[in-house]
Amino acid sequence: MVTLIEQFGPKVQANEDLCIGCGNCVFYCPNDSVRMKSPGKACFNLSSCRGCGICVAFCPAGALDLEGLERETISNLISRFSSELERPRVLVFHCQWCIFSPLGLHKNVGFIDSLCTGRIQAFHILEAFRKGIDGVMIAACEADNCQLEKAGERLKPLVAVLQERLGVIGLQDRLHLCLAPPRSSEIFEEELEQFLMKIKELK
Amino acid sequence: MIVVTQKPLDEILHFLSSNNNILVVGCDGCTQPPRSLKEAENLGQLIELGGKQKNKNFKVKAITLTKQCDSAAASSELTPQIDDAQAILSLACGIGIQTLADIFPEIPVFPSQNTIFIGAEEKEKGFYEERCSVCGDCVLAETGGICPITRCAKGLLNGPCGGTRKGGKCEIDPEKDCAWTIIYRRLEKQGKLDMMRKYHPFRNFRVVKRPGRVEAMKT
Repeated sequence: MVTLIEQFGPKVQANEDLCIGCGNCVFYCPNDSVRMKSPGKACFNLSSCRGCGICVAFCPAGALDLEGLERETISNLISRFSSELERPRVLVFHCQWCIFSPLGLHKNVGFIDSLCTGRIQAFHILEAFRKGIDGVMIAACEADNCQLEKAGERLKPLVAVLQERLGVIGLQDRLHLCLAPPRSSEIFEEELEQFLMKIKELK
Repeated sequence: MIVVTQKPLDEILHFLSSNNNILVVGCDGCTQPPRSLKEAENLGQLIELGGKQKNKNFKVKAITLTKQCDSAAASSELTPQIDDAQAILSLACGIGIQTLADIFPEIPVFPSQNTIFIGAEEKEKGFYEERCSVCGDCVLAETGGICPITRCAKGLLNGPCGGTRKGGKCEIDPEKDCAWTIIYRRLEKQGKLDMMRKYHPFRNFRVVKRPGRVEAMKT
């Protein structure tokens, strides 16, 4: 039986010409919605795709995108924030289940949400810094609280590797991973305030 | 697959320091982790950011090639995109880098990866592990598809050393399985334990003279 989300929710968009057949999407899809077909291309079963975006983040060839949360959509939003926010400019990438009260009302903070943290990738984090964002925070639940195991588990290593690389150019303190238990907006708000203060001092 | 690790960013920035127009070239071929277009774009962004920190304005373009090591394909794919690149930063293994360097001898080609071994990803474990030692005399037919040269710490060819630890772990490295234990179990599953009694003479280390060279038509 196909659920409503599986019928009508946003889907992965695959550009087969760019697919290099690495198999990452096949392994990381939490719904087993991808398989490899001959000759070496990923083949998607859209009827079971739930739009988490994990495959998009793991695709090394940029062959995948997500309906409604396309790469260009996110890039445009980053550009908008970098011109509209007051300095210090901070972006928060989060999944839809992070509930925060100051959502959208902070003059220094822009929120970029997605259905799942699986959508968050290094490309957009680096893009944010390139476009003049002063600090990037990722807000998520601890891996063992996250409904999607593969999404929750990837964030710590993702941030660790990025911080190591950014560290070489002195930017590691500008990236922060906030792991808060679900339903605790106070922890998130406090970490955001502290992060903002730290970023102010870095300027 | 050829397993690579990315070089430290400061080393890469040092290579590029005397150039401005950088072409970052990914490879869709066999690196693990894959270093295709998005990886090239990410590295390109890091280079731009790194340049800004040192008041240097790198002009970076990121592309990918199907296989950097195929000189005909790489040449035809890359030549129309070379534009005014002053340096090429390759995300490929050592073979790809050298092939590009041969195609464009006037343009410096820099490595962004260290090529470390031939291996496979154990996705469930979250590791890349070396699987082939490129010995030139493959014994996998006798060992149930498990390479003792690579996975046995001593490279033994005739069964375990006698130091196997409890749980089938290696005497040298207790984190590793004893290769001959897992070979035994595999042969047992296939009903081929008689292979364990087959004597294999000591390894000939001169099967392939290095650097290796074979006639293409005769392989």
